[in-house]
Amino acid sequence: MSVKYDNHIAISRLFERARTKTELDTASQTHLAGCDFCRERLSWMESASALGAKETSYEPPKTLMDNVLGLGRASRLKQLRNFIVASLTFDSFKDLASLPVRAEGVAARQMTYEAEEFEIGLWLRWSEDRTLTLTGQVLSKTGAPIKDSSAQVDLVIDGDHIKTSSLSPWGEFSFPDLPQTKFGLQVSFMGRVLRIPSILLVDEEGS
Amino acid sequence: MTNRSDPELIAACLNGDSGAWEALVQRYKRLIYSIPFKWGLPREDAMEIFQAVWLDCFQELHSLRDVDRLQAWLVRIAVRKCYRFAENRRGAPASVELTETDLKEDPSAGLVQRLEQEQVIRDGIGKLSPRCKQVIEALFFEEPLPSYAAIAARLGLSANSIGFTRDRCLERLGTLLGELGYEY
Repeated sequence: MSVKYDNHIAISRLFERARTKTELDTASQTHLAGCDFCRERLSWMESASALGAKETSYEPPKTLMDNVLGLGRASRLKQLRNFIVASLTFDSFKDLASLPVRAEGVAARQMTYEAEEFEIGLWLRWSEDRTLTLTGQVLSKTGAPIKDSSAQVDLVIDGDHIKTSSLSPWGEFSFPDLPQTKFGLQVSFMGRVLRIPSILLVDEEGS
Repeated sequence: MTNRSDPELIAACLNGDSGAWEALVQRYKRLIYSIPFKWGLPREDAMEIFQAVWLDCFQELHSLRDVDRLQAWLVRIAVRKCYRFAENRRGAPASVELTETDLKEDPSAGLVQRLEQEQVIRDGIGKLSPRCKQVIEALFFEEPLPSYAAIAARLGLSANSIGFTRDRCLERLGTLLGELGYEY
């Protein structure tokens, strides 16, 4: 930072300027125009003043904080160790990767992911308006359904969990009307979290 | 306020340290909770968005492990959720501090810079002594601005010394903001 003057504007006057809009005298205005040090001081005081009385209203209510802090209970944090990244083991379009993804007569794509003793089947269907419906099923490799009434699947776009679907008793889930974009899935059940990262969806025009 | 960095806190969370999670939430709670209000959304939406952002954060801690830009990530997620909530309400909110352009064109530019400046100020105030914190909060966050005599009385100071205390606390906060990388 370059400081052009030795005698800066008193901090109390800068504060009054920022907080109460009190005009500076001419000499101070001239100084301010050429002094980075005083301008920076004025800048942060103006930012703090702009926060103003609203700042205390930005304190989340206690009940809300309790809910959020509850996420961080040690037992829940330990579950984070149970994140498992699933691997793609089948993609009906894989061999056509260099061709348009949606070829004539092909209106769906099927994929299978595996992690530990579980399989996740995905089916993607394009509608006429170029939106997508994603359906899926989570099964154990023995074919048995997932017995967890709180099991759910999150649709994640760039870390943003935008939709959630519960799993049916047969491990089924569905996300209709999806935009064509890159997304991941996160399946939470029986103390585990299976992650399917970055499925890139494009239509026949490659958009 | 903890002095641990975001990556340190995230790593501690992944080791089951609930105190680290609380420190993260405390650090960014006002930043995140303020965004829906700036977007003009009502309180009930702000509460839902706040919870949803932290739930996402919790679930993404693994992938955030090597990221030292947690703050920007949290802001981006909150802004996107605000945008969706506003769209669902079918129409522009009555009072919008953030423009749609802020959000649509480049959520990482002007909007984020403004929110980051505010967060640096919060962080700086959090590092002040309790007495200075009280002075600064009275000076900047109370409406109307209380008289210096009133602030002095709260702090048990004489009216003559409040000017010195005010200046010292302002100087201290300015120094801290410089250390924290405040950019104007």
